[in-house]
Amino acid sequence: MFNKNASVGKDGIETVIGPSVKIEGNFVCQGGIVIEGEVKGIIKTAGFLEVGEAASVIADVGAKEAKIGGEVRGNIKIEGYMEVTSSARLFGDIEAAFVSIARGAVVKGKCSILGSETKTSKSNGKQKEEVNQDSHE
Amino acid sequence: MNNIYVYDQELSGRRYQKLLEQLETRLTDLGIGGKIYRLGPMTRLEDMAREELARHPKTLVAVGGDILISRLAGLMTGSKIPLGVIPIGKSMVADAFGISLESACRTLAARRIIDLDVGRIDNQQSFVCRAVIEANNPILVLDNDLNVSATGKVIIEVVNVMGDEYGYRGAQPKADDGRLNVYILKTETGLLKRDISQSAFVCRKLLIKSGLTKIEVDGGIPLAGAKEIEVVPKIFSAIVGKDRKF
Repeated sequence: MFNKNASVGKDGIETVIGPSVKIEGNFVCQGGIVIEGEVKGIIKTAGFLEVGEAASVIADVGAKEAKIGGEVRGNIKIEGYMEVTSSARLFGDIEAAFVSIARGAVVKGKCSILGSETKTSKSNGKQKEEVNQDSHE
Repeated sequence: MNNIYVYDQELSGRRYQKLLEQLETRLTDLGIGGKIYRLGPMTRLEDMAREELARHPKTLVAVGGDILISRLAGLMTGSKIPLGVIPIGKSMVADAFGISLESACRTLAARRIIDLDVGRIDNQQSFVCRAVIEANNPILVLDNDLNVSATGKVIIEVVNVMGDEYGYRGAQPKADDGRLNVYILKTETGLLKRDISQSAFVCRKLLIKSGLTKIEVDGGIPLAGAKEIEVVPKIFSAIVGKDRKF
């Protein structure tokens, strides 16, 4: 599935997992992913990840940016901005440069918000420093 | 070196006579006329193509619809002789290649040749554009790694390249990227409206583990079944128009 020359749609989306579809396995791609169905395994993308309200994800997740509105059971690591909407239910650790959590969202796990230091620490090769630790329920 | 023009069996009717005469005149004017094969009920395309390809023609041109284009493309895989297309009627392949009936002769003369992928089913049947599968609760495996299952009755489109009708979410199919696009479409019926839910993936190989009920390729070639569909990258050459869709 991994291809650096991946062609993506006009809106940057490469993969869509629809509501009637269930996938299991390691899923790695370069373009954006939209999940509206069920996923079990590992998800990694160099692009955008969107988890819809009705989606159910049991997987460790890695993406550049994310908008989460459904249920995710697993650790989430986002390079940039992560938006958690009010319908989201997250069970696992979160690590992201920037996070916004809407009122009503359920977040159970360690939340590390690294700010702009993510990029700095990457370029200097230094270990990331945990700036903020929080947990919501 | 000669150009070979293969006329679809359907073109033997009178209503195409004038059109074909005009085409032949235009091709001669452009200096790209050649030998004409008119397919009939007794002609075997496979024998003709094998014989002609052994003589190394300059171009083999399919004059007709998608079924002829697809069959010829399948027979030409592995050879360096380019496939030309003169579409008569609606053709997905010609549309994707950026060729219309009006522009076909000019496109052939320009000889813009590129290497393209084909999809191959069970290592036998090739397709240029897409395979359409009807399935019930299908289970698929993508690239030997990812299990995909869908509930209910769905249409699975395995696409190598698509023309104007491409309107799906997800990666746009490209005939030279070494991958196939898989779309799973399901019609959801509600009280007042019908929605189509869509999934989209890209892969090199697709295994159909269960659920297949019907399959046809390139707009009309039916197959008895299919287990494995994979992309064969850049296996044949084709003359394409400057307005190609990939």
